[in-house]
Amino acid sequence: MRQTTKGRILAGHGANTLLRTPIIAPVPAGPGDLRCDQPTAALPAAALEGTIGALEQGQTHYVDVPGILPLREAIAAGLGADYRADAVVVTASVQEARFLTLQVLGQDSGPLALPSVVHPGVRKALGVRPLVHRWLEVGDSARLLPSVAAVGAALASGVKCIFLESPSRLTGAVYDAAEVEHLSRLVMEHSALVVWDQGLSQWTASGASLEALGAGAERVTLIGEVFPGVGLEGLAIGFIATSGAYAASLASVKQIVAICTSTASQYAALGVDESYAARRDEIERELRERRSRLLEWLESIGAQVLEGGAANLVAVRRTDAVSAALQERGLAAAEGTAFGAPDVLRLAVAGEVLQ
Amino acid sequence: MTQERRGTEVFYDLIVQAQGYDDAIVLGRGDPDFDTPAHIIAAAEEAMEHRLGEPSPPEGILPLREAIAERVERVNDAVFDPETEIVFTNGGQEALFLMVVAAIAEGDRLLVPEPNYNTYKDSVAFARGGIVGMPTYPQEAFRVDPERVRRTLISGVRALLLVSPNNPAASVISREDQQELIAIAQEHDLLILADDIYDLLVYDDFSHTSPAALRGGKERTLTLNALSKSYAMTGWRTGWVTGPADLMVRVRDLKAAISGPNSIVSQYAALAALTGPQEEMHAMQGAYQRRRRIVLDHLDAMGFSYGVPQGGQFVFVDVSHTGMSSIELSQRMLDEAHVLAYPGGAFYEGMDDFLRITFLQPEDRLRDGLGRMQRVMEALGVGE
Ligand SMILES: Cc1ncc(COP(=O)(O)O)c(C=O)c1O
Repeated sequence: MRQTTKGRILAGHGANTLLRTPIIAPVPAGPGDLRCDQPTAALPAAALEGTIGALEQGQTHYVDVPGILPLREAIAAGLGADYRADAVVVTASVQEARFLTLQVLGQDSGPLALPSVVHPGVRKALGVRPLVHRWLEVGDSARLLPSVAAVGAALASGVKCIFLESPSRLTGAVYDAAEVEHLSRLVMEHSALVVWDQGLSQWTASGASLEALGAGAERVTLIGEVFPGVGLEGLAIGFIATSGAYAASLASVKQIVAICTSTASQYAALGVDESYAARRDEIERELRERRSRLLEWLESIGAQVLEGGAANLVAVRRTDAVSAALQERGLAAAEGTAFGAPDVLRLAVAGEVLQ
Repeated sequence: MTQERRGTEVFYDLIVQAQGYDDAIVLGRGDPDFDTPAHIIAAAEEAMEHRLGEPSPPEGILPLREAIAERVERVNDAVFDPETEIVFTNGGQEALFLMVVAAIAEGDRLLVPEPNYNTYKDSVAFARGGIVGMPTYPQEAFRVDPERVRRTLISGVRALLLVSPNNPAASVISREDQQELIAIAQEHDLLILADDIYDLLVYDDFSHTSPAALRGGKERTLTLNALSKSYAMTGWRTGWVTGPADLMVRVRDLKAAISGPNSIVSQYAALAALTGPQEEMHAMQGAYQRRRRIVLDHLDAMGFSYGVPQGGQFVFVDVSHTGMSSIELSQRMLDEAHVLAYPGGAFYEGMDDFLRITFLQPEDRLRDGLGRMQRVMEALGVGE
């Protein structure tokens, strides 16, 4: 019998393993939930007041598709001279930023290559519409980042758009300065485009991040959460910072997908801006202390910790002993399987659970 | 309209131009002039203080989905399970995108009664599908004639779009026609994409019917709705999709892939809108009724014909006697009178004789705007 329209859609969906990738919630379900990407805290009072003030004054209408200008300016200001407010697109979560960059830039500038170990949201976004892509192997490096050589080989074979995470969303590991340099050279040489998820960069000791890439906004599009860690997690707000060459097509698809981002979320983010640097430093210190206690505990249970530099998470090899110890304490870790690394578990450094 | 310029771009271009005039009267964009009612903002404040740490699944928190189920049953007479058949979205727009991407794969076609809201074309293009446009006619009050739908069906059409009240033509699909359209969908194995965003805004003796409420409708229909237009909440991004549980699994996965859960603050604001006092919403409905009358009286006095708006927040006005294309005329209105009205030609090529005028301004400004339009017409030698 011929398949019905609905039957065909459901069969296609069932076969779409990318789109069915399990996701990670932005806010923990409880104190033992160590699965989230970002730490979170109480929103600063000034941000709350500013937001309510804006809403009461009538900021309850559609706003510009790429976001309210002062917020775009604040985001651009945190990214260095090459990124300009008029090429920032505010998104309704980092996930929307992944979706837009992969589906727009990966389509227009492709073919696209991505790390075989990558945030589950990336696989998920890739599953929305078929896109020519290939995976960059991470080899057996304990960082679980694709090697610069792998990136070079992909570019040499005709790949035009590379998606990278540094810090890695799974291990927190980053490329070092020499690698970033090398990546930069490769990208220029091949006139390629990089989409760089740097959402966890707030939690690494200042070091090599891709803003340092000489390639600049023309070649490197940045995405991430807006001002992570200070209470915006439940407000679902992310960004894309790109060059004039891509801003219009990204904003055009943003319009098709959602018209604009919620004004409450945008004003809350704007309200966080001023106090962010100081608050971020405080939180990072606290995370580092907690992380070292977490590491001690992990050592005491014989866990093998992966290399990583981000203060907000620890990745470990999955063993029966680790799983049992987590279960005994009522802790839930993010499953490496959804990242493409089934033998890894990721623990967020958060809450008071380990004190 | 030039083929290469998307209708949406034409509108945004006009919006930007209008922003350049201090005295502009915007009768273009579908953004209510009313601000969001205060009790909804109070709920947002409460959520920002106490609920930012509350987790939400991609489809939205359960109390909100329950409130949506209750609303849809009460208003639309259709029953959905809040656990499995409702996904909360970033406005009607994301709901629209999800419905289209869920139903239309590469090479599939969506049958679209024209004129229609442009994002349907844009979303179908994203999905690499195609549109089969089916004109509706002013002399038939822009009715979506089931017989014409039947004749328009060609191979590859997988779904039928039903926006009622329609944007921009402001026509409402009758219950009988909806039932007949469902029968056609059954015969031809089509899904139905229903857009109920203007369901609370119907006039005179017209009434809104949701295809999902009718016999045979629910299992093949995805329906969107949103609080944007009826509760003056365009900036909050609050909408939803309802549909049968099997298809909603796909819609939920797509929602998680495209943006993940909505802001918890918008979710609590939406919950307050749905479950809190309804007086302000009713007062806005009343205002739209009065304004619609004002616009129609003015248009009558100016000698215009138009599709009598059966629903929505706009009038689709015939401007053929000006001898100008709608895009030229709308540009002229903006340049000379600083009044923004959307050109019909940017909705659909066949509607280049029409302007869409919204009544989303206070009555005095509405009168002022219409007066200015009249002066432009007189200068063109086509006024009364
Ligand atoms: C028919 C129709 N559907 C959906 C939308 C999307 O509205 P929103 O995303 O603001 O809820 C609109 C907006 O104008 C519309 O006219």
